[in-house]
This record gives sequence, structure tokens and C-alpha cells, in this order.
Amino acid sequence: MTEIVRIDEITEERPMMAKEQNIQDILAEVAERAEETRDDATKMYRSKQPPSDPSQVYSIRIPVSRLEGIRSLAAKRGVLPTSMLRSWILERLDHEEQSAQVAEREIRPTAHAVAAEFSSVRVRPGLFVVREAEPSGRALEYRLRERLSQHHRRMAEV
Amino acid sequence: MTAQEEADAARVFEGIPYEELRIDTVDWLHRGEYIRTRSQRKGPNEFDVEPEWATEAALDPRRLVGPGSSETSIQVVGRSTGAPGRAPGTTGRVLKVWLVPKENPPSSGDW
Repeated sequence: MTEIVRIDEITEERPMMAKEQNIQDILAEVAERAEETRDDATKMYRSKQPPSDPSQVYSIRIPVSRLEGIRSLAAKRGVLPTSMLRSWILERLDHEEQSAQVAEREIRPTAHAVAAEFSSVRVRPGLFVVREAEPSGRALEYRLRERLSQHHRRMAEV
Repeated sequence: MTAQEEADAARVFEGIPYEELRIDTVDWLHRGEYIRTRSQRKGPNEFDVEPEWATEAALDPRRLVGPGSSETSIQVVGRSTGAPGRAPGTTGRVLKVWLVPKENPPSSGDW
């Protein structure tokens, strides 16, 4: 069973029913008045506080059976579940981006060597397509080396 | 309250000048479906607003901010680049969004 849960929702203590109802009432009143007065002229001010790094609430599906584990772990660490999940996601994103950069640095010399070897038979564009499609840098480097070896063997046979 | 005091009060929301209000995050948990289904309540000519578009408008660096429909809210006019334009086949639309702060005073930038 999966439930759509906003990250905020599972991270904080669930508000009391009265508080929740109060929020709903306030928002309903604001919305109703907003529709009534939407065309009214209002003095507006140019914002001097543009968001430095704008954030947006993002909904994700988390199995209900895992929610308690998330809340429990966050409580042990003394952080809000929201903050913990956000930091996990951003840390993983940083890790993936850094890995991609490292892989590219490691592959580049081999790829250039292979490209140079194959340039005479005009297959270099194909190699670069392979590189872009391959998510694992090390696997690609292995394949490129293997192809280079095969090429050397064929050349030796000739 | 003097005329000057009234004028000063009109420029602030919970003690913070409108132009100085931080707007960093917008949470549509409670009203997302409401703005998404406006045409069902107001008529087929009304514009249904996806929460992402409303957020985009609220976070527009060139947004205008002013008093909302009640003392608990503000209104923001900004441009959503993702929203469909008024002309067929175009994108981008200026939206007016009403926001209620998550905390008082609204220093965190969460609405």
C-alpha cells in the first residue's frame, strides 16, 4: 500500500485537529475573499527580496509501512523528518553529480585514445554516442578498453 | 490613528514592509486542488491554475507584493513561464496569487 505524502506532512508532528481546522478556515476565508476582490485595485510594491534559492514543495509517494521508520529515525537524530529527507535527497544528488564528473575525467583519456585509433575508420561519432548513453563510467571505460584491444588484435592479424 | 500612521500601516504586513517580505517556499497542500479546479466552480471560462504555476509566479524575481484579501494574507503578482499563455500555442502568464504565512511574523519565507 502506498500513500501520497508530502515530505512536510510526515516530518512534523501532526497538528492537532483544532489547529488544522483553523488553518482550513483561514485559507477558505482568504480564498473566498480573494475571488470577490480579485479585480480590485491594490497598491503593490516591487519586491526587494527575490528568493536567493527558491524552493518548492514536492510530493513523493512513500509506502505507509516506512513512514514510522522515517519519523523514528528523525526523532533519534533530533531533526524534523522533513529536514532529514531533504538533506538525504540533496546529498544523493550531490553524490550523483560528483560521480558523473569523476567518471568523465577518468574516461576522457581512454575515450580520446580510442577515438584516435578509430578515426581512420570513421567510427568516432559512434563512440561518443555510447559514452553519452552509458550511465556507469567504469563500465564504459572497460568496454572502450576492450574495443581498443580488439581493434589492436584485428590490426595485428591484418 | 493619524493619516500618516494609516499610510505606514498599509505598507507593512505583520510589521514587515511588503517589499521586504521573504517568499521562498509555497505549500499548496491545502489549496492546490482548489486553484486547480476553478473552472468547475466559477465557470468554463475561468482559468485552472496548476500549483506549480502559482508557485512560479509567487517566486518571480520581479514580483509585486501588496495587501491580500484579509489581514492574514498578502497578494503577489508575478509571471509564470510554465503556464499557458492567453493566445493559443503560447506560454507564460501573469498570475495574481494570495498567500498566507506559515508563521507569524513571516520571517522564514514559508507560505
